[in-house]
Amino acid sequence: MKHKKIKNLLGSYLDGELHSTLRKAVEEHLRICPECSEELNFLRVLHKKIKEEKIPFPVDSYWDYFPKRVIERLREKKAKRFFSIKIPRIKWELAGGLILILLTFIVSKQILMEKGIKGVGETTRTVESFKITTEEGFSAKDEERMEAPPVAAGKTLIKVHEEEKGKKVIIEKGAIPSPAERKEIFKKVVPVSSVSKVPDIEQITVEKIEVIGGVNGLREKKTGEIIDVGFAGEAVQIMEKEKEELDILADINAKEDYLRTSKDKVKSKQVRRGLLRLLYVEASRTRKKGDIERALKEVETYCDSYPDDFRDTLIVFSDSLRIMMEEIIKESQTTEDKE
Amino acid sequence: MVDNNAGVTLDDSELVEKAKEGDQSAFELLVKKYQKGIYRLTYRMTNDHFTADELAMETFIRAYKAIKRFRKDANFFNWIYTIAVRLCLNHIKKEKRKVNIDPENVNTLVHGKKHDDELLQKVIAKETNIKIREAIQLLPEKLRVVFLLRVDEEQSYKEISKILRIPTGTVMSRLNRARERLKRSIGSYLMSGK
Repeated sequence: MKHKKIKNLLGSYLDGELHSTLRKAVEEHLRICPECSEELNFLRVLHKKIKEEKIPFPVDSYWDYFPKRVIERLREKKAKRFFSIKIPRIKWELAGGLILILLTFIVSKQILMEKGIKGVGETTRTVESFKITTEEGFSAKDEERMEAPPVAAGKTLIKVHEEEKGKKVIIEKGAIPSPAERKEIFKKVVPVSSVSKVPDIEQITVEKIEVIGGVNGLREKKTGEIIDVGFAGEAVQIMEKEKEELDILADINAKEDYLRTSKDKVKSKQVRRGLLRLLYVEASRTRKKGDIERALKEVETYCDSYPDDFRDTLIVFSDSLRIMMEEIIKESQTTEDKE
Repeated sequence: MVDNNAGVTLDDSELVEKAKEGDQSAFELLVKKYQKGIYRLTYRMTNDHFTADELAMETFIRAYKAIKRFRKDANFFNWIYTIAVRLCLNHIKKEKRKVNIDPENVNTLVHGKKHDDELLQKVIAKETNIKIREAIQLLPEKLRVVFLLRVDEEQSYKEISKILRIPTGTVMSRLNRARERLKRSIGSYLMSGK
């Protein structure tokens, strides 16, 4: 095995994560390569020093009290929630008043600007709030429109404001009555073709956000980064709306061509999803080293770019491809030995 | 491994089951069992006691709130570390918190001029811990978290891949990149002072 490859394996060798064949190869190489021996020595020193480096831990009394603080904080949060449930009517009325003032302002402004008003919705009961954060911002032209809160389909008030001009936009939704209702509302706010529970995940990537209706008419936003659904709660999976259209690009080359030329980030992400699947299937079919390496490289490069449902699939692909690769290496070694 | 300073005899799954039924004392035992490990991670990731304390606290609060959804066959350690890691990464992303270290200063200190050598050695000898901590802080957070889970928490590649939900190959490559960066920033310093 080449020196460079062995050098890359030294960390895994030190961590005891190499299979016996590779471990032996590394050990043999270490006997003849002073550079790699020195590198391994450095890694040993680094690990040792880090293990020795003690972080300034708080005193014992801090640890004795820490669990109690957690429980106290939980009780505080419960009490807060209880308080908010006790006065929903006041909150509702307050919200209603504010909305009325806001709408009056917007309407008068619109009239002054001689613009028409299209569809004004109602608000829902406010229990808690959450945010949709997108990285791709509104254009400067939209600035004026952003001042007005659009009303999404599903009678849900959406407040939109610009946090950082042209870069980051927060679409704040003011009402989530219950997890079940939240899903229903969400379906109306964004085009959701499936909703599923993903425990212990607080955030999920959004591929498309579409806000329909509103005082300024139809609005459409594409590409979001994260939906924060609050506490490790239900995560909403946004599936591709234009999946059928994209499936026309059935082969690897067509998909690669599309990815080279397209500037549509959302579509590209979906096409790449299909490409990764195809590469995996192709590698499994041919079991050629080149195909497996190519699929593995692509899968691992883009693994972090997808929401959890597809990321899990990519992890399975990756593990499976690695096993495939090991099998092929073993097979070729056996053949060489026989020869 | 995670410090277990509570003399806890029940295993995690039993404690989790009790906590699911609303037994707060069972959850307190889980907190006791994992508090130091979680704090160590949050501190290493943020290098600030108050932030680390807040993130560690939030980790357990979120865990408690979501514990009813915790699957019986899952690993509590992985689960709680996943929450902590995500909180840390979100915090770093949101706050764009950067440790007040100028990489240039580290390099100057490490590769200083010859006539400063004596003084330099003296400073270096006293500040090994600080230098290492600084170098770790200079790693991009994705590399830092993998490196800390491996070296500090002694997690296997497979465990890290489960906690971070990334392939083991990615764990391996991120570890390699972290080590390469650490070598560049403190390699010569560490080897000269060994």
